[in-house]
Amino acid sequence: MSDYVIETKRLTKNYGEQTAVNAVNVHVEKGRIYGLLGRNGAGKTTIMKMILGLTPITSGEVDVFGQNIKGREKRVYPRIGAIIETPGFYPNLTGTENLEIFARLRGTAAPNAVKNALDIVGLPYRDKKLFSKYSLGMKQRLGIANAILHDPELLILDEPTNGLDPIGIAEVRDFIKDLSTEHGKTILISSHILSEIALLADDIGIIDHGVLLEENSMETLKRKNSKYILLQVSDIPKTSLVLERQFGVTDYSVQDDHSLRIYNTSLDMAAVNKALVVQDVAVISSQLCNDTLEDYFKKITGGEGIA
Amino acid sequence: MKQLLWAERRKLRHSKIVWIAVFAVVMIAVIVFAEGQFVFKGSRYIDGAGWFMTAAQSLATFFVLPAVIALLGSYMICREEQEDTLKSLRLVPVDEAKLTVAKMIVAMVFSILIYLLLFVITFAVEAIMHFGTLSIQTVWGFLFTYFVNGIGVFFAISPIVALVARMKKGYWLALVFAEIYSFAGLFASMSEILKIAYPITAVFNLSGYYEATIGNKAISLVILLLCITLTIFILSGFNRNSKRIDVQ
Repeated sequence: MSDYVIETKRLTKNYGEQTAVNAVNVHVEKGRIYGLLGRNGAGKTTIMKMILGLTPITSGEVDVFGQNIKGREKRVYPRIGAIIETPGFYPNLTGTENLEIFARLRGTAAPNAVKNALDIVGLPYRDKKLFSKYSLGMKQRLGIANAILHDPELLILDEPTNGLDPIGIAEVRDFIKDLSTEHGKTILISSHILSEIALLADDIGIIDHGVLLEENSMETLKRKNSKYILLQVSDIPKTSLVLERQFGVTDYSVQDDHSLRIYNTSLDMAAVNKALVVQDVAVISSQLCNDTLEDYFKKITGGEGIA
Repeated sequence: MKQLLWAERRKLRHSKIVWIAVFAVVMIAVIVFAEGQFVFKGSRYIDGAGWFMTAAQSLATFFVLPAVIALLGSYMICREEQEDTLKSLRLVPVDEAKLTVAKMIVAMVFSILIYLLLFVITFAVEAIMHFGTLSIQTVWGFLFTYFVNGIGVFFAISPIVALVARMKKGYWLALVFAEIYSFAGLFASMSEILKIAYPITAVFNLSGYYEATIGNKAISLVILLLCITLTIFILSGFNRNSKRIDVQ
């Protein structure tokens, strides 16, 4: 059995002729936050719905906690908390009354579960305000409260910061981070906001037009896209030797037969160039690059739609 | 099922439709009371012991309560999709067939309670006006009639509730359909055959509002059971259909 809490294999969803999700392989590791990043309409919600069994799969497989969810809903759903799209609640009831209904239906044993969940998201307990009078941000908070009400192991949160003000976004972000680091929850979160995912996720999947373009750890992506010196030379092995022996540089990566990236940007490039020439290595170019994550995402997704 | 019934009852808190129903019952009582002020052969209708409790039933059943009960029933079923709570319920997970059954049971209880409320109001007025003339047997007889009316009307309108839920065009349609359906009962009551077979008037055959033979009562019972069977048939299709549509 794999260590993945969620694993999809060539997951595909067609609506008639249109392919909404195309052969997506997502791997969510236990205890980590996986950020699904993509522009609006990229297929994030559809993937989450398929993972949860809320929409039929055209082809492919989904394993949650190591097994297919189909037919095991009664055992698996109590281990999952989810918000999909906008949270739906009964408008004629207060937030507390709404949560009490879901707590009772779930058979949530903890007597203070509703109060605790509301406290965590910063909503008042036993408030008289009806859900129909809630602002979008309050609705979103109540949705999160409902998702964590039964203390699930896995959270699937579809754009949970939608409609929140900047302070609310920061609070929810801290809270989600805390759930993962302090309580060991596994979290799959989607967003079209790059900064949100960059600040929150341990692993990231970039989706565009239903295709998962990249899946990697955030650490690797940041490393790929931080400041670096792009060096184009005639002989890579000799250059590596010079960098390591004469300058003690180990933090570099070879890109192809003629270029490499040096991540130590404080390196004296004049001295490096001189040393390379002495070793009979032609230096074609040497330039300081400063690709941000945003530049990278724009490049691979075609450049639009990610805030 | 117990939890679902509890949840359905809780979902009706602060609900305007419940207050509309209570208001409708009070208005029926007021209108029938006003009607009772007319003089016939030297005395007011309302002065006859039991007249108020009798007259309120026909006005309520032909004009108002079936529509109100149908409105509440279809609202309870349609709201899960309209208010987007169905996906949250599925993630609990909640069995949709059981959920629908729970809703129908609560709607039936509501129907009984609404008729009993009308009974309480009309009885209170009768008790004030004719305390000496009302026998316990008469009162029990009316209580039984109102109780059976509550159940029977729910059976009679249940196909409308199911149909409107399946049509997904808004629960207010149930009010319109049920109003036409119950009003038509007034004309059905003029024919001896239709009186037995038309679901709304069949309720009166069963409850004892109309005098009926055992055979006629049996036919009326079969008609109402057919209504419930039709409802189950429509709703089972609705559950399959909603699963297919919702997920897209």
